[in-house]
This record gives sequence, structure tokens and C-alpha cells, in this order.
Amino acid sequence: MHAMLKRRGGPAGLFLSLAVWAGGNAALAAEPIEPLPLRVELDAAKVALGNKLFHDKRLSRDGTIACASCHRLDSGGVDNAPVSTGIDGAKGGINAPTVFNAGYNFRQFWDGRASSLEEQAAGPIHNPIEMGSDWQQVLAKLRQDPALVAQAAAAYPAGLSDETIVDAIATFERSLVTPSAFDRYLRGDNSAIGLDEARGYQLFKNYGCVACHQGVNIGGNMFQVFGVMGDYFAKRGGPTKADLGRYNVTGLEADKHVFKVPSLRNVALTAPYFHDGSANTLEDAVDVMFRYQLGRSAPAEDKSLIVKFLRTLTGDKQARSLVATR
Amino acid sequence: MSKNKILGFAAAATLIAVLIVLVALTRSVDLEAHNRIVATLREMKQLDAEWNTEVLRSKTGFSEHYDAVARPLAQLASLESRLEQQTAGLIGREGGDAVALALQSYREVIKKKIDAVEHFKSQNAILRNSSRYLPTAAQELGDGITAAGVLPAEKIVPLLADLVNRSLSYILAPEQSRRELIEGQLAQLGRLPASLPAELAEKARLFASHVETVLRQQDAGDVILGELDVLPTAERIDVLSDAIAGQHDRSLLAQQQARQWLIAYSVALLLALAWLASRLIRSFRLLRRSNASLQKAHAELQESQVYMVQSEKMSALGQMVAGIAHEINTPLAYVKGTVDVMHEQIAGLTALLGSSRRFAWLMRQQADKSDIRDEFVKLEALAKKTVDDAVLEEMDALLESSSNGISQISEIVVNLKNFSRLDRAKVSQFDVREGLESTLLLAKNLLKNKVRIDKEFDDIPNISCSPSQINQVFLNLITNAAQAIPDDREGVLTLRTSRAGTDRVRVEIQDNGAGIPADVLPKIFDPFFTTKEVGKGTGMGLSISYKIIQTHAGRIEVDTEAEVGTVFTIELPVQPPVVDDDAMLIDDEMPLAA
Ligand code: HEC
Ligand code: HEC
Repeated sequence: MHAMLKRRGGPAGLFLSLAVWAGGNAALAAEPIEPLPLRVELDAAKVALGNKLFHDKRLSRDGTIACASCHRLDSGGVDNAPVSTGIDGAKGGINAPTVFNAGYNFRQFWDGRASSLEEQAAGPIHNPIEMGSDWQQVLAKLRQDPALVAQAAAAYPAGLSDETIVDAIATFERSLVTPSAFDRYLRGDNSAIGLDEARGYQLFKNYGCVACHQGVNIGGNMFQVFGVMGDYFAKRGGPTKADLGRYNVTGLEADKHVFKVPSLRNVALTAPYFHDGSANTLEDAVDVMFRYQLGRSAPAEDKSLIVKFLRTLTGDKQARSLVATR
Repeated sequence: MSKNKILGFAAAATLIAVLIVLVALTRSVDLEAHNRIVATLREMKQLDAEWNTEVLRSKTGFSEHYDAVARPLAQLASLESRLEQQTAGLIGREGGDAVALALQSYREVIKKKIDAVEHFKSQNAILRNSSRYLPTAAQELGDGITAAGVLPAEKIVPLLADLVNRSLSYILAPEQSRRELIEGQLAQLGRLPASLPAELAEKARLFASHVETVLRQQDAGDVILGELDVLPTAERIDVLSDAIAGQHDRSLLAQQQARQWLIAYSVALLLALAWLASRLIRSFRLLRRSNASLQKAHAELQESQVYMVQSEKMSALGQMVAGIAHEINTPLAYVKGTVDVMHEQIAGLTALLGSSRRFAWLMRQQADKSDIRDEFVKLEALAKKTVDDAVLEEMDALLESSSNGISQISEIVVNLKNFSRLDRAKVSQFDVREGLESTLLLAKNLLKNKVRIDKEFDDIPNISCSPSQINQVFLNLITNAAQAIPDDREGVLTLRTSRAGTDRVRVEIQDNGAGIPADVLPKIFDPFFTTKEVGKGTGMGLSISYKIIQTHAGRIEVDTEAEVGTVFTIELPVQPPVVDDDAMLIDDEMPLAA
């Protein structure tokens, strides 16, 4: 096994590798992007409870902010602001990513500091500039609501507690799955997207966007330096702590400016883009990607085709219906 | 007693607790739990191997995306937390340190592996992008330079093609010599004529930087893969398995020991139980034996009670006999005296009669006058003496008094018969006053001189009873009363009869004696209780009286006052339900303490 890993290859390994490197033999490789599952099995009671809590402003210290305040479900799961505004109008240091399909991210947050949705959900409640509360306060407030307490008791044997709140929210978030026209295309429905969009997808693959934005979430499964082929931050100026990315978590030099590659699902809805919210339009974002992540140029037409493709990633309206209750 | 009970309970509880602990210890090894742990470890190892494969597939480009490489993260986390939960019980036990240590070192190495895989993904993606782009970039650059006429195609194209080939080869075989060649050619590319248009220069710079990226990412990837290669995750899982297995073995051993202890303990408990049982049996036997002897004693007691009752009767009888003897003795002596006197006087009468007969014979024979005269003188003298001595009058008087004495004796005999009525068990109509009278008569010598008898007899009906028994009660009470009266005082014994309601009669026997002391009073009806000297009384008198009255469905009460006297009040029904004479004598239920 370990000998194989080293890939100091026998003849067969050499041959296969050559074939792949030389041009991406399509016959050998499946699509780099996978469609969202057709069904998601979740406990309906927990989802319903999570939904309620997700919109519950009592989770914040002053009762002004809910999760949904920054992750607006009618607006792509984001607040469409460069940085979020928390309680007392405090501005955060980073752009809010969408909660849609967040369950498919390998880690949560730009710097991946939370390894699961459960771990993540406790974060904002305690974050002093997001919701600035703590469990004691939150539970004290929520326990005064008999309806909610009853609902929690119905969903969990343990009833309302910090753990069940987090679990319910995470379960709810896992239900926020947004299959799109492109998923239908991937499943063989060639007419699901237009010719331009299909060409855009082809370009997306050919130019190598799929090196980073791939998998079921079209991103969200690896870390990458922002600025692989050029110094994005030198160009932009005004460095912030958030710009250091994963370095803030690991303290490793190699992790400076490293971010979780974001999912591109619903990307048309989630402007402004990047962790710093610096790109206002998809076109701008794609430009930046070409320049700093691919290190290559492309004709404007190709870029606009790619943007067209990216728009096919916006979820269908009836997305939630695919949550199967059990 | 209750303290002993508590101690007993505590001891039993302790023994049972020890038993429970031992049983728990023998069950402490949860084989199922161990199997689950083994299953988790197997899954972890399997996942680790699969992960390696996925990394390899990504490296070789077999998989088009990294989901398969990213997915194990969550699985690893859940397996790890599952293992943590499963082994939580082991840590802290003997051998748990080794498990904790192995778990810790597994965590360290898996964390390194996660980091390495993260970096691998990042570098691999970039390496693939740049390497994929190289041919295109070379083509575009070559075409551009040729078209611009800066350099002839044969000068620039082979260089670029070489660079592309060497770079791609470097990915497959990153040899230092190749690297140096590539670097040399990159330097050549850097020396392109200054006449190169800016756009082409930029293209060349980009191409070079992609080549450099390939070199850099390949090297970095190699380092990461090398790291991954030596990261001993599988070994750590094995060590962990070994530690857990070791601990499992140890717990099995401990369980075995506990089982042995349990067996030993059980045997000890059984022995103790057997001992207890034998002791129980022994004390049961003892109990039975003492029960038997108690029963015997009880029977003996009953027997002796019967005997005592009997002897009380005898003693009553004795007293009675003494009284009777005395009573009879007086008239008897009197009768004997008179009879003796008459006997003496018979001789004079005999002489008189003889002389009378001879005188008569002499007369018929017409014998000598002298003889006749002699005999006449003798006869006359005898007759005169008889008359003078008033022998016949005396004899008549003597006979009268003898007759008196005899009728006295016969009176006593009648009384005696009345008192004891030979048909004693039979119930008969009985005049209580008669009973009292005959009892008084029998007790006469006891009362004589000393006690004045006051009788206040109201008219009462006869009652149905066992007269001998009731008389025994009267005798007992009257005797006691007489004895209670001190010698220095004129005793007064008052006997009263009266009606008590329509169907009961009341008898009161009152003395003016010393009274019964308060400490004695509650015991007077107890069997064997006596204030008399040993030998003088059986102590059964009042107890038997009590019993007799009870058997007659009557009531006996005592009222006493020191130095004033005592009065016993008996109430008897005119018609008692059933009077069973036997019940009195052989009665199991006869209270030993009334
Ligand atoms: C004040 C605005 C604000 C509120 C309120 C808020 N979030 Fe966020 N959320 C953010 C920001 C900003 C980030 C990115 C932070 C980072 O990566 O460091 C984020 C990140 C996330 C992510 C990670 C998504 C990803 O792709 O990494 C999830 C999931 C999420 N939030 C869920 C929630 C939930 C659940 C709540 C309520 C408990 C909540 N958020 C409340 C602003 C907010
Ligand atoms: C080397 C990896 C890499 C490649 C190749 C790559 N990206 Fe990205 N992409 C990223 C990273 C990292 C970010 C997030 C940067 C940040 O915000 O800090 C990102 C962000 C984006 C965003 C913004 C998403 C958001 O919600 O903020 C878009 C849109 C995007 N990429 C599109 C593309 C396109 C189109 C391509 C191909 C032309 C591409 N990317 C190629 C790594 C890559």
C-alpha cells in the first residue's frame, strides 16, 4: 500500500499516469462534479425545530439577530453584504458564506476551523460581534416558550438543551439542499441547460476551475491558497487578519492566505464574492480566479460562458421538497 | 434484641453486597462491547486503507474530484468519537493508560495525516492544473513568438516542447538531473530577445511560472506523499488494537479471578449457610426439647395443681375433721361418763334385785322366820339405799343426758352430711343460709370464745349449685376471717345474705380483722399464694374459691381496709348455666395467675 502510494511506478502506473496527464482522457475519468442526491433523509421534527431556531432572534443577546439575519434563506443563504453586521451594528471581518448545501462542505468557515455543522452552529451564538450570547442566556430565554419547549421535547428525548439546539440547527441546515438545472444536466438531461451554459461548463473544466471547484458542492472539499499564480493581496492592498485564512487556525507559514475553496452552488445569488467581499459581480470574481488561481488569460467570451454556466448552479425553487421525512 | 436484628440485617446486607460486587466483577468484561471496539478499529483501519487508495487515485488522476478524499474526514471523526465512547470505560482501569496512550498517539498521527492530505489536495490540484496547461501554454507561446518573427520556429518550439516533456516527465520521475535540465532551459527561456512584445513576454513569464509551479508542486507533493507514506496510522491502529486487546486479556484474567473469588465466596457462603442451618436445627431441637420439658412441667404443674386442690380439700377436710372430732368428743365423753356411772350403779340394783328374789323365795318356802327376817332387813336396807341414793332418778337423768349427747352427735353427723353431701358432684337446690349454718358449726371450735357471730340473713331463694363446693368456699372464707382476727380483740364475724337483683343472691362474710395489706391484695386469688407459714396452708384456698365461684358463673369481690376489716362479697346466680364439678378439678384453663 505504502509502496504504491509512492507511485515510483511500475510500467502500468506510468502508462496510466501519462494518459491522464497528457490530456485528461475522458473515458477514464467521470465528471469532476457530481449531482446532489435526489433524496435527503432527515428527521422532519428535528428539521422543523431547527428551522424555527434558525429564525429565532432569542439566540442573540439583544434579541435582534437570528441566523437567518445573516443567512437569508430568500436570498441565497447570505446577506449580500461584503461583511456581516451583527448585534449592536458591529461589522464582522469577513463575508458570510451561504448556508445552502453547507452540509456538503468538508469543513465550515473560510478557514475551516469548524469540522462540522454542529461545531459551527455554536460559533455565532458566542461570537461577541455576531450574536454575542451564551447558552445559559439562550436556554433561559427559550425555556420560557412552552410551545418551543414542547416541540423540542417532541423531537428529542432530552428536550431543549444546548446540544439539541445545535443538532436541530445542523439538521435543518442539512435540509437546505438546492438541486439545480445543472444537476439535472449531470443526470443526463442534456436540455436542462442551454448550449452556452454547456459550453461554459466545458470551459470551466478545460481551464481547470474544476481542479479546485469540484465534487458534489463544486468546491468545499479542499483548502487553497488565494493567489496561487500571483499575489492577490499585494494587488488588493489593505491586508486584514482574515486575509491570513487558515494560518489563523494552524499558525503554519504554508497556510497563509489559504482558504476553503467555496462551493459555487447558488453563486449567482451570493454576491459580493470572496472572503473579503471584494468582487461585486460574478464576472469580476471569474476574472480574479483566472488571474490569480489559474495564472492564465482567457477570452472575454469564454469568461462570460463560464459565468453563464455558473448561473445554472442556482437551486430550483422547490429545493426543500427533496427532504424526505423519516 | 432490635440492635441484634439491625446487626444481623447489616451483616446480611454486607454479604449480599459482596456477592453482588463479585457477580458484577465476573460480568465486568462486556464481550459484546469489546467486539464493538474491535469492529470500530477494523473500520478505522479499513477507512485508513481506503483513504490511502483515494489519495493515490487523486494523485494518478483516476478520480476527477476530491470528495472521496475529503469524505473520510467526517467518517474519521465519527469513528474516533465512537471509539472514544467505546473505550471510555477502559481508560482509568488497569491497562487503561496504555490504551489512552495508544489512542493519543493515534490521534497525533491521524492529525498529521489529515494535514498532509489537506496539503496534498491543494498541491495536487495546482500541479494538475499547471501540468495540464503547459502544452497549451507552450503552443500559444511558440505560435506567438514564431508569428511575431522574434525567433524562428525551429529555435523556440523544440525548447518549449522539451520543457513541457521534461516537466511532465519530472512529475512521473522527479530526478534531480532532469530538474537541473529544466532549470537550465527555463534560464534559456528567460534570455529571450528584448524585442519580444510585452504580451508575449507576459506569456513567456506565465509559461515559466507554470513550469516552476509544476516543479515546486511536484517537489512539495513528493514531500507530502513521503510524509504520508511514513505516517504510521495503520501501525498506530495496530498498537491501539494491541493495547485494547491486552487490556481485554487483563480484564478477562481479572474476570477469571473474580469468578474464582466468587466460587470461593459462594462456597464459603454455602458453608456458612450450612453451619447456620445446622445451628438452627440444633436450636430447634433444643427448643423442642425444652418445649417438651416445659410441657412436662406444665403437666406436672397441672397434676400438682390437681394434687394441691385435692390437698386443699384434704386440709379443709382435716380442719373439718378436727372440728368434728372435737364436737363429737364432748358429748361422747359425757355419754361415756353417764354410761360409766350407770354401769357402777347397776351393781347396787343387781344386789337389790338379788335380795328381793331371795326374800320372795324364803317367803314361799315358809322358812325360818329368822331367815325371812334377816333377808327382809337386808332387802329393806338395800331398797332404802337405792331410794336414798336416788339411783333410779340418777340413772334416768344420766340416760337423758346420754340421749342428749347422742342427739348432739347425731346433729353433728347430719351437719357433716349436709356439708359434704356425699353426692357432691351433683347439683341440687341449696339454701345458702343452711350452708352457712352448717359451716359455722363445723368451724365452731375455731371460732369458739373468740368470735361473736352476727347473722343478718335476709330471705333468699334456694340456689342451684354444688353445695359441697359452695360450702368449701364458705368454710375457706370463714376460716380465713377467723384467722384474720387478732387475739387481743373481740372478733366479730358478720354473715349477711341478701338478694342481688331478681335472679342472684349475695353473701357477705365480713370480719373486723387487720385487713389485707395493699401489696398482698392483688395476689390473694393467685394459686399457691399464702401469707401463712410454710406447711400451714396450701395457698390454694382463695384460688380454689375463686375458681368455684367462677365455675358457678358467680362473682367474688373483696373490700378491705387496714385495721377495720375485710368483707368478701359473693354473688351467685339462682340458676347457673351448667356447673361442672370436674371442670374445677381438672381444668387446663385454670388460671395460674388470676
Ligand atoms: C452576524 C451575522 C451572522 C449570523 C447571525 C450568523 N452567521 Fe453564520 N456566518 C457568518 C459569517 C460572517 C460567516 C463566515 C465566518 C468565517 O468563515 O469566519 C458565517 C459562516 C457560517 C457557516 C459556514 C458556511 C461555510 O461554508 O463555511 C455556517 C454553516 C453558518 N454560518 C451558519 C450559521 C448559523 C446556524 C447561525 C445561527 C446560529 C449563523 N450562521 C449566524 C455570519 C453570520
Ligand atoms: C487553485 C484553486 C482554484 C481554482 C483553480 C479556481 N478557484 Fe475559484 N476559488 C478558489 C478559492 C480559494 C476561492 C476563495 C477565495 C477567497 O475568497 O478567499 C475561490 C472563489 C471563487 C469564487 C467566489 C465564490 C464566492 O462565493 O465568494 C468564484 C465565483 C470562483 N472561485 C470561480 C472560479 C472559476 C470560474 C474558476 C476557473 C476559472 C476558479 N474559480 C478556479 C480557488 C480556485
